[in-house]
Amino acid sequence: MPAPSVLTIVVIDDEAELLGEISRFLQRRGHRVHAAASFAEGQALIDSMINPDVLITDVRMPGGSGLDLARRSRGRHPACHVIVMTGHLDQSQIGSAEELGAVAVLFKPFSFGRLLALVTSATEQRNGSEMPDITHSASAV
Amino acid sequence: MIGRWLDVFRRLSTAIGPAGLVWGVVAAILGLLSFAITFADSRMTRDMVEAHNIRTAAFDVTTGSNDLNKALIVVLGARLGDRSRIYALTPLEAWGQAARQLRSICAHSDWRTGEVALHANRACDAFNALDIAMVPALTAHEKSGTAIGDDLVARLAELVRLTDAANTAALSTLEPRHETKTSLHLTAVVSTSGFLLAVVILLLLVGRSATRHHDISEVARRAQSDAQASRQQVVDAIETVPVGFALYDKDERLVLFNRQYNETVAHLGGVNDSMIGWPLERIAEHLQQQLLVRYPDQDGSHWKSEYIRRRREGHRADVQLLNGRMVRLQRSSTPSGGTATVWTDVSDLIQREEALRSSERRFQLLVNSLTDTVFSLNRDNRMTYLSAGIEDLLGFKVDELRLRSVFEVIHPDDHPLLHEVADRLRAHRGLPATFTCRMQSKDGTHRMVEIRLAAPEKQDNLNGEFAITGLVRDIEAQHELARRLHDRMERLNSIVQSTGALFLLIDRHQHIVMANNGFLSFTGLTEDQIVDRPFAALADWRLDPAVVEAWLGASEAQTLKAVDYNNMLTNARGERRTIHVTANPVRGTSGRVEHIVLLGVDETERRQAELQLFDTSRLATLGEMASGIAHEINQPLTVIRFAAESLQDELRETADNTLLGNLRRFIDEKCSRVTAQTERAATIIRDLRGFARKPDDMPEQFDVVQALRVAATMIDEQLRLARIDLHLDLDPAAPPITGHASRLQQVIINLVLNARDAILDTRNSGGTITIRVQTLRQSGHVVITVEDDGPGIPGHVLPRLFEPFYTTKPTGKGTGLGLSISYQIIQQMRGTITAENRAEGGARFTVTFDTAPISATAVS
Repeated sequence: MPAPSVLTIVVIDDEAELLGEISRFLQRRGHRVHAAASFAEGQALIDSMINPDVLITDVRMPGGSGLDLARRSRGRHPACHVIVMTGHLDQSQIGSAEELGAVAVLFKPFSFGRLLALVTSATEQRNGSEMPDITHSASAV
Repeated sequence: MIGRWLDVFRRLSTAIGPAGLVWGVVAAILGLLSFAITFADSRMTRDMVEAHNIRTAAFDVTTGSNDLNKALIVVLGARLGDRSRIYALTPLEAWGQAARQLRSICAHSDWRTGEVALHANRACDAFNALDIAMVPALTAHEKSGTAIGDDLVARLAELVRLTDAANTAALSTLEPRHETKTSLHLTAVVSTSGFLLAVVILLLLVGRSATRHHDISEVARRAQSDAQASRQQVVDAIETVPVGFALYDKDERLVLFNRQYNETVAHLGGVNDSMIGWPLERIAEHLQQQLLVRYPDQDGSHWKSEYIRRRREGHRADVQLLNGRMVRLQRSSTPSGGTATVWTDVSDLIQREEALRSSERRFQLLVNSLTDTVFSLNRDNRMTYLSAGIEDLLGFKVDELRLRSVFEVIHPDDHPLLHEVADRLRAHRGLPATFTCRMQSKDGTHRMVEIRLAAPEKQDNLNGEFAITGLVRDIEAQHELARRLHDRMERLNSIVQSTGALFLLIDRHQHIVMANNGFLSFTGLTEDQIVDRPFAALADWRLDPAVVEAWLGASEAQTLKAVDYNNMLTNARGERRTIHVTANPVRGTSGRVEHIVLLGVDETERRQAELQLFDTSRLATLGEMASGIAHEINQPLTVIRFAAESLQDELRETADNTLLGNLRRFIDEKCSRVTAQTERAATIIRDLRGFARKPDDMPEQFDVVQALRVAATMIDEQLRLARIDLHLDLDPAAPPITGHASRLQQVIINLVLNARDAILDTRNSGGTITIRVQTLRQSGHVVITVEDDGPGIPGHVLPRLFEPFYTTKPTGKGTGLGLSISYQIIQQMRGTITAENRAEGGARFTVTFDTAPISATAVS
C-alpha cells in the first residue's frame, strides 16, 4: 500500500464518545480531523471548510438527517467523498445515499479497520484510482 | 114590423101545427067568453057584496040612531049630571061612525046607490051639525044643569028621520036578482070550464109541439154544443201540444192554430182568432207587412213567397227565426185535403244534438286515445264495437274487424278458454272476469293480452248488441318483462343457492320464508322443517330483539342500518363454528320493513388465522420495539467496539519489550473478545429485527442487486473476521422483484451466516461464500444462489431443513428459526427456496422469483 497521504476529514455525529473515538483514531493515522457534534454544527462546518477530502456523517441525528449534510457537502465540495454511518437504513434511504455519491454506507457497529479502508480508498481515488466497489473492498482487506 | 110578426106567426104555426091553431082559436073564443061572463059575474057579485055592506052599514046606522034615541031620552028625561056626556056621546059617536061608514061605502060604490048615498050624506051632515051642537050643550048641562035645548032635540029627531030614510032606501033599492045571478053564475062556470079545457088542450098541444121543437132544438143544440165541444177539445188538445200547430183547409183557409204556433210568428205580431178563415195569402201578406214594419233593416221582400211556398210544397225545413230561435217546420197534408203545419222549436234540440255530437266526438277521442282497446260483442260473439287501439294492437283497421267473429283474432289454443269465460259471464251477469290469452295480429304473429270483460244485464245490453263488453290490454311487453324477471329471479336464486354463505330470509313476524342450500347443508335441516316456522326455533341462532323491534317499528323516512355480529353455531357435524352474521332489514312497497335477510359466513378459519396473526402482530410490536432498541444498542456497541479497537491500536504502538508486554497480550486478547462480543451482540440484534414485521407491510418493487449489495455490507465484517471470502456475482440487468427488500436481505444474510457457521464448524478459517444473482431470459425468473465450500448439508438434515425450531447448532448458537423464517419470507414473496449440496462440495441455497408484475401499488 502506498503511504497514506494526509486527508482533511470532517466527522459529524451527535454521539460525543463515538465522535471522539473516530476522531482520535483518524488523527493517530495522521489525518486532519474536524468534528461537529450536531446537525447545526455540521452544517456550519461544511460551510466553513475549504476543500475537505472526506465527510463522515451519522444519518440519524436530532436536528436533521446526515443525508441532508451529505447533499450539502456535495453541493459545496463536489470533490469531497461522503461516508454515512447508520444503525439501520431501509432500502429507500440507502438508495438516496448512493445517489448522493456516498462512497459507502457503514452499518454500526463497524470496525476501525473498515472505516480506515474506506477512507484509504478515498485517498486512492484522490490520487487518481477508480472508485472501488464497496464489496470488493471488504474482501481486499 | 109586420114582417116580424108574420115571421113569428109562421114560426109559431110551424111549431104548433094546424090542430093547434084551431084549438087555439077555440080556446081564445071560449076564453073571451068566459072572461066576459066571469067579469059580469064578478061585477054582480061585487054589487051584491056592496049592497049587503050598505044595508049592513045602514042597519048599523039605524041601530045606532036607536041607541042614540034611547040615550037622548034618558038624558032629556033625567039629569044625569056628569054621566050624561057618557050616555049621550058614546052612542052618538058610535052613530057617527056608522054613518060615516055608510057614507064611505056609498062613496066607493058606484052601482045604483045614488039615493042611498044621498040620504047617507044628509044624515052625515046632520050628524056633524048635531055633533057640533051637542058637545057644548052637554058640557053646559053638566056644569050648570042647563037643559039641553030643543033645537038639539029637533036636530036629533031629524037625524033619526034621515037615518030611517037611508035605511029604507037601502032596503028597497038593493034587491038582489037571484035568478039572474044564478044563471049568470052557471054560465060563467061552464064557459070558464070550457075555456080552461080548451086552454089545457092547447097547452097540451103546444106542450107537445114545444116539446118536439124543444127536442129538435135540443138535439140541434146538443149537436152544436157537441161540435163546439169537440172543436174545443181539438183546440185544447193542440194547445197542450208542445209544438206550434196550424191547420188550413182545402181552400187554404186557416182553420185553427195553437198558442205555440202563434209564438213562432209572435215577433211579427202573431195571428189571432179573427184571422181564422183567412186565406193563406192574406195571412202571409199581413205578416209580411208586420215584418217590414218591425224589422225595417231586414230584407222581407221574399219572406211572403217563402212563407207560402213552405206551406204548399215543403215537407220539412229548419228555419232560423229573426229572434234567433231555430224552428223546424213539418208540413203534411190532411185526409180532407187540407194542410197541417207543425212547428217545433228545435233550438234546444239542435243544441242538444250538437252537444251530443260533440260528446260523441269526445267519447270517441277518449276511447280511441286509450292504449287499451275497448270492445263489445253481440250474442253471436261478433265484434260490434272496437276502439282505435285495435289498430296498434293487431294491425287491423277497425272496419276490417267489424262484425267478424272474435274467435278469428284469438289464438286457436285459447278458444276453449274464451268459451269458458263467456259461459261464466252469462251465468253471472254484471260480474267482470279477467283472463290472458294470445291474439293474432294481421301479420300472423301473436301478442299476449289481458282481457277484462263482463256481460251486462239483459236490459242494459242494447238488445244483444252489447252482449259482452270489455277492455283488451297488450301485455306482451309485460309478459316479456315477467319472463325476464323470472329468468333474473332464477339466476338470483341460483346465486343465492350456490353461494357458500348461509342465507336466511325471515318475515316481519320472524317466520322463516326461505333458506338457501348453504344454510340447509350447514344446519343439516330440510326446507320443510324450517319454512314458515319461527326463526326463534333455530336453536342457537340469535338476533337482537331490540334491533328487530326498532326495524319493524321504523317509519318510511328513517334510514336503517344493518347489524353484524358473530354467532357461535353448531353445524350438522356437531362442530362449533364461528359464523359472522349480517342482518339486513328489507323494506316492502308499504315503506315499512317486511323482511330481514340474514347472511352468515363461516369465519372459523379466518378467526383462527386472525388469532395467529394477533400473536404475530404481538411479535411484530415486539419486533418494532426491538428495532428501536436495536438501533439504540448499536450506538453503545459501536462505542464499545471503538474503545476496544482503540485500545488495541494504542497497544500496538507501544513497544513490545515494555513491562506491559504480557499485559499487552492480555489486554489485546480481551479487546479482541470485546470486539467479538460486540459483533455477536450485533448479530443477535439483527436476528431480533427479523421479527420487526408490520403485518400489513405493502410489498413494493425493488432492485435485487442493490439490496444484496447492501446485505453484503452488513455482514462482510463478520466474514472478514472469520477469514471467509465473500464473492458477489450480481447480474446488473436483473429485473426488479416485488416484495420487501429488507426481508430478502434478512434471508440472504441468514443463508450466508449459516454457510459461515458451517465452514467454521470444519475448519478454523478460510473459505468462500458466493452470492450470485442471475436472470433467466426465457422465463424472466430471477435466481439468487448462496454457495459455500463448507461440508455441505447432511442427508438426514436436508428434508427437515426449513422446519421451524429444527437446528443442528448446539444450544446457544442460533435459534433454529432462521431457515423457517426465511422459508416463510420467500413464500410470502411468491418465490421458492431450495437447498442442495454442490457437486464440488458445500451447500447451495437457491431462491427463485417470478418477476411477472403483481400490482404493487402501495396504499398510503
